[in-house]
Parts: sequence; structure tokens; C-alpha cells
Amino acid sequence: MTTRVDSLPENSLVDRVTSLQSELQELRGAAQTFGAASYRPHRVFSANPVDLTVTTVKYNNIRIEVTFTPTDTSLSGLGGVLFMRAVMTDASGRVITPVMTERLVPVNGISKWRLYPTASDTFPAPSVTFKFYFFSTCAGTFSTALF
Amino acid sequence: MDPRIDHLSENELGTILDGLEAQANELKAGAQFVGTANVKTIVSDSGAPSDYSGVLPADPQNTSTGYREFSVQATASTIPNLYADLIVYVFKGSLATRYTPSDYLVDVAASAAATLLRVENAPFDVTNPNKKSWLMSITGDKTTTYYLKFYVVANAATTIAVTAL
Repeated sequence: MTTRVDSLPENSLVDRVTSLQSELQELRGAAQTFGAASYRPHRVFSANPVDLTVTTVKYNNIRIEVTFTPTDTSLSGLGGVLFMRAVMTDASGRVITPVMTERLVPVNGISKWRLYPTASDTFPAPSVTFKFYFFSTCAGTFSTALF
Repeated sequence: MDPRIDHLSENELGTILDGLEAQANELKAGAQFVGTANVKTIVSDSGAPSDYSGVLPADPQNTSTGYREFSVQATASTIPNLYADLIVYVFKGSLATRYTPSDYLVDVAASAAATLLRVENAPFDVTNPNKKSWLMSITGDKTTTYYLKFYVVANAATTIAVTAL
């Protein structure tokens, strides 16, 4: 990017200065220091009884991708999830653990996990529900998708 | 420095803004303040394409399969208390082919040699709360070269030490 003032695109300078101003205000306005015993992580989860329902779960036919997006992504890697817990429950209300899960390397603070629930091809699980909990350094939202 | 913005030399303003951005980034990467959404989470890795490569030795419990255990330790560079998560990517045969849990399920169904990764939290080191350790094992075949790549997601930059047991 050219940095000559007269060569900058419209509003580029204002945008950069505004962004820096908000960063510095955040740094000055925050109260807790991040150290010995003063750090309180966020817990992010929905108010819904379940976050995702999948039906007819066989041995290897359902793959779920969960994405956590921090509220603030203005700096690369700003905010993110320290760890995630998923609870999988079958139609009769039994909690099934563990769910085979892999975490992907976060990109720009956005974290992704992939879950591979398994059941029997002969006797598929008719309905399985998932509830997700995120322990993060920031506020954020999450979404689920089959892939 | 001439304070008039139109009198700045070429790229001088950009250099100033770059410096400010770098400072804000450093402030968040070092002694961070915890507020609403402004803590930086840092993904650390060794920078190498893989942190371990090799053929698995025979499992003493089942000599037809390969098995190896690892100790992985992350050490925070700046803060006293580390909150960290470990991400392990397994590559089988070459670094171009990442082996996923889905591949494991396919291999099990086909009665092929399946590669299974297990990661457990190691006992917490109460005297060194800036460190976190995991015990990891991999089960697979005895002829293919495996490559392991480790990433640590934490509230600080970390260095990662991997020991094959």
C-alpha cells in the first residue's frame, strides 16, 4: 500500500487513525490486568436447550464444523477460544462422550472444530443433539454446519 | 518534524501509523489488559513444517502395530499463568496428506491399519504455572513415515518442547 498522503484512497487515513484510536481506548479503558489471579475468561454458550440436532447418525455419515467468531477481530489473533466442550445427547437423553473432535489452527482469531459422531450403520441413532460451550478470552458468537 | 501533514516527506505518515499499530500490537501481546473483547490469543508453533517425523516402533502390547508416546510442553514467554490448548496435525506418508478422524473411521471400517491419536492433559505443574504439558500417543502402522505438527493456542506466546518417549 502506498503511504503517501496524497496518494491514499479516500477515507483510508481516517479509517486507520480511527482504528488506532479505538485500540488505544480499549487499552486504557480496561481495568483488569492479565496476570497472577486476576484473569477471568468468558464463557460463551447459547440460551437454547440444544444448538444442533442431527438425525440418522450412522458410522461415518455426519461431520460437523463449529466456528467461533470473536466480537472484535480488528487485530489478527485478537480474542479467541482457549478450549471448547461439546455435549452430545442421544434421543433417550443419554449423554454420549467422548465425541471424536479435532481442532483446526485458528485463523485471524476465528476458531474451528470438527466433530465426527459415530453410531451403527445397522442401527443408526435416530436423533442426536449437541450443545456447545466455549471458554474464551473474549466475547463472541458461534455457528454450526455440516460439511 | 514539520507538523503540517502536507509537508511530510514521502511515506513518513505511513511509517508513523505503522509504528503506532506495532505498538498497540505489542501492548496486547505482552502485559495484556482484560476487558470486553480485547485480549489477544496467540497461536504458537515451532515454525518447522513438522515437529516429529519417523516410522512408529512396534507396540509392545501388540507387535503388529506401531505405537509411540510423546510429551508436549508449552512454556509461556511472558505471563505467570498459562491457559493453553494443544492442536496436533497428523500427516501420513507425506506432509501433503493430513490424516483426519474421518480417515481413521474409513480405515477402521475397511479393516486397514488405522491411525489413532490420543491427547491427555498431563498433571498440572503447581510450581511452574507458566507451563502446561500433555501426554500424547499415536497408534498406526509400522512402515509409513508419520509427521506430527504441534500448535498451541494460549493467552501468551509460548515455546513448545516435544519429547518422544
